[in-house]
Amino acid sequence: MKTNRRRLLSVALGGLLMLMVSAPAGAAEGIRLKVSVVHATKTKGKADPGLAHIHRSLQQAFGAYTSFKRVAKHELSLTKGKKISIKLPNRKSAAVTYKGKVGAQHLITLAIPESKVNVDLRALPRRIFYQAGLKHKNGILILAFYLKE
Amino acid sequence: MTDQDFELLHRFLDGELSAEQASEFEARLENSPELAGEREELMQVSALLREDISTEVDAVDFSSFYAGIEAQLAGDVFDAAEEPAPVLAREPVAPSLMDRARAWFQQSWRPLLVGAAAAAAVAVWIVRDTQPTNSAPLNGPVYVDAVSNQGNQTVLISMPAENEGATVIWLLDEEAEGTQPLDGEDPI
Repeated sequence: MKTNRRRLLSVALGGLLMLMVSAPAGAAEGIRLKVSVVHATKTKGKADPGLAHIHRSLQQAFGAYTSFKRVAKHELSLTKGKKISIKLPNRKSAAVTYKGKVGAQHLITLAIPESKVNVDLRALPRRIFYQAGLKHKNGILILAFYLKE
Repeated sequence: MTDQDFELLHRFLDGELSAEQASEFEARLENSPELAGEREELMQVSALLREDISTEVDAVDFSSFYAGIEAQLAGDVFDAAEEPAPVLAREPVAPSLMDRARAWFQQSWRPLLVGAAAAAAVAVWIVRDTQPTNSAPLNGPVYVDAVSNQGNQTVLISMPAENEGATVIWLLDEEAEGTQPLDGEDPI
């Protein structure tokens, strides 16, 4: 009985060790990036309930626009060195590459490949930031980013 | 090392500390290998991130760019100073700063080949309550270290000076037909 328990324990520990070794280093970081794709126009419209938490922030940052509607929502699991692309409704895309952590800040490269623009930034977790300006249907697209550990 | 230390370190590197604060912090750096190591690492990362675009930035004349932006900002600050009292949130204005910045680019008609736009601190928001609610995500500084722009569009970075508002990376989409003259053609 004791021998069986030992074997079982050994197998369990071995399996756990295998999992720890085989798991990609980046995947264990548990960094997630929430992205809301917002269509902003200068027309009057009802507030999108999906944007309730950031509506005031949107109004502050994009005062010339009066209507904000979320057209897509993504939650990305970031892995160091891996680029993740998000398709946008205007046939362009945004790409996010996670480059690791320095102190409390996360290094991220945000790219709009079709526009040949790359932006290297440092972001603290739980801080919202935006990329904006791509034209879409009489308005612009706003990408709202929110990093979580 | 605490988050507060980390923030102090960034402010120290960005030259935002007062002489007294900087002196105190330098003393701490001398006595803390961990802090000194962090400073070294940050400086290396910063140098690496900036290296790629430094050549392009040197090749671009930003004098008119900044003059135009500063003129726009000065106008906004002046307008804000004339307001009788702080307001809760900036009401939509027409035309907006971005619209005027865009108009300025079109009027001055410089080729929109800005290799990289350096970060511009913009703090024109006037808010009464800067405390976030429990349900709202915190806004605050997200630092842009480098911009690589190999296309023909303009990138503007708006980074709030304080924890008021969020960092915005503007990409001025100028692809609409008829807004750009042909090569060699006068804009007006």
